[in-house]
Amino acid sequence: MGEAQRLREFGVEEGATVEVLHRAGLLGRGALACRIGRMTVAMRHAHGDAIHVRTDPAATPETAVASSSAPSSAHPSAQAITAS
Amino acid sequence: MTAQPLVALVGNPNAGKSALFNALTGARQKLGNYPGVTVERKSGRLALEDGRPVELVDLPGTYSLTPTSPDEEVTRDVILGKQRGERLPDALVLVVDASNLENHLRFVLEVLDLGLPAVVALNMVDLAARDGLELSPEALSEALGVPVVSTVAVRKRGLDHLLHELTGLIDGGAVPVRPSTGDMSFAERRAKARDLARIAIVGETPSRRLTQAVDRVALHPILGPLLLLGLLFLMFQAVYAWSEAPIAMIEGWAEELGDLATALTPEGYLRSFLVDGVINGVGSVVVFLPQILILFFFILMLEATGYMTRAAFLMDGLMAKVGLSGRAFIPLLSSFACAVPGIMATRSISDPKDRLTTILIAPLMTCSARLPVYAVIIGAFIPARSVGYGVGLQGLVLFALYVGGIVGAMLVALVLRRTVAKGQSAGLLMEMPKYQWPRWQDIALGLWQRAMIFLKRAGTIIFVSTIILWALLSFPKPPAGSDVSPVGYSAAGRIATVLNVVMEPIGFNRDISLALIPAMAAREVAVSALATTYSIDAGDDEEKLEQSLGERLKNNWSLPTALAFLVWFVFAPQCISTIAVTRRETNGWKWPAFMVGYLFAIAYVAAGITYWTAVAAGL
Repeated sequence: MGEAQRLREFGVEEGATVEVLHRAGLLGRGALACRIGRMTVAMRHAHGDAIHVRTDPAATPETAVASSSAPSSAHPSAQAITAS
Repeated sequence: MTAQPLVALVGNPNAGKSALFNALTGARQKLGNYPGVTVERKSGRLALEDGRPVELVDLPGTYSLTPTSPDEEVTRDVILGKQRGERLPDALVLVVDASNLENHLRFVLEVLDLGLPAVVALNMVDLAARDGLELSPEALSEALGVPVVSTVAVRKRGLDHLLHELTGLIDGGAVPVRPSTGDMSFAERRAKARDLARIAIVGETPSRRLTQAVDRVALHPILGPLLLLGLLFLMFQAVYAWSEAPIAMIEGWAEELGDLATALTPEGYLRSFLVDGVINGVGSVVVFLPQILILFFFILMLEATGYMTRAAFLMDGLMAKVGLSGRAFIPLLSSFACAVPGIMATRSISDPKDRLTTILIAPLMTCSARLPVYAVIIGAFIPARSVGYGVGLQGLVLFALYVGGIVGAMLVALVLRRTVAKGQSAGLLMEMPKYQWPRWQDIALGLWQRAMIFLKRAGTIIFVSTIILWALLSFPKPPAGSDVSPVGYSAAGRIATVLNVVMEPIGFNRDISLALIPAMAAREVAVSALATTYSIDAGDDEEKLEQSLGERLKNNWSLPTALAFLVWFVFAPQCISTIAVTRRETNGWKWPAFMVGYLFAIAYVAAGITYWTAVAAGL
């Protein structure tokens, strides 16, 4: 509820590019630091899992972005849709 | 009601609102509370171009007008004119991060629809320029239909221009007609914001992004935690290393003052009251002002530079293991300064169970009021030698006490989340702002406010409790020829003797039991209480009078007792303000009572284990 709204406020929406910048934690799954638009957002994997992403073939492995099942733009930039 | 116009600062978190507020109001700030809710109201006075005074209020940061926390609700209600105890603002300053226009403009559009006169402050344009963004406030102003001003709050740039525009708004001068975005949906507004950003950004050159470069180290899975640990370690070493000279200076003043009072007053109650009670008692606490300021300096710096959210990011994995969110790390870290603002900062945690757990463990973070207690005991019982590599043993013990509190808090959280505060683990979801070098005036202002709060406490709570304790310790006087010590014969001594029945098994002596009573008011009172006790106990004994508090403690306590006393203070809820703020934040006596109960129980057991172990080890 509130979290899906917050993700949208952070700019996670269909067609947005999401880039995983950092992963915290040596053991297990720590938090993720993602670049969304011009913003860096810290989130947990649960949030990351709720964002449907399509990997950008043009990107380096580190800038792995992913997208929804319905790519709309000609440029293979990543898209994201928040799950609500 | 004042006739002064009201101007509200509105914006997303991390837009630099507070820095702008500081820059506009300087030190003329008033902190208060909105009636009925536990949200802080921060206001200040601002002079318009022609000198007319205006009240400026800094509203809590929010991402939209659909609130997810009590803070955000206040922001919405104030600008809708629905907030109790607040009048509808005459004008708004919409603070926007110049390097994140797409996001912040969406909120600006939402607020502008309410129709209040507004000016947009395009803040932190220097950081945007650093990122290679070239902006046109004029173009944005034209598209938005409201004045737009470039500002750099931390460098005080653009403030005159902002004041000029505000003066125009207050005078109700040309309020331009602007295109309404009336019934736009979230997505439509967002698209519109993106269009507006495209209009405002007239040039963009890819540049080396400082923040990303720093984050590569600061958020590195191995280097990041090491850096955080190193910073915290440096912080606690600095508390000792940097404070020596100023402490010696304050001690010198207290001594001179004591000599002066001794010279000016006749032998008797008045002299005992002034020298033993007031100067010795209050002086022994004021002496810790340098250490408290050093600690606050580090915390304010970590906050202002933007590192604090990185720390939360790094700690989230660990926090998740005990059922907390990384968000809880920020209130908990502020609790190192004082649990009261720490507990108030938990308002940013939206999950109620998550928040309750954070409130309940916040007193376990070693607050600055414990420092005087730790410093006196460590100074007296732990030798000031190096354990190698420039690391002092005293600093190491202090560090261990802090770690003890943290480990205790984690264990308690683990238990609470499985029992009384059971619930879904709420996540970490937060924006990480760009790194920024803070304005030293902002840091100085923060330190000044902290110093004043501390000195006020020393002047009131500590002063009063010291005086009461002095009276209880001084009367009744033992009859001449009695072999009972003056303290033992006094009213306080008798109360402590009773209490001591409970405290003796964990190694506490009567003097400690005595100090624990007034220390309920505030932890640091324990130090002044001990100082007063031993000062009166010394009586006219010249040799004893020459001794410092540390020397007196060393003569009266064993090492296991001192260690047990330290451990007691890691856990014991010796602070009325914390209990009061917990009651306010949890709306009742149930949780503060629970908190006090569990903390005393842990303190007793932990101090006992420490004492018995130390005795068994032959210390």
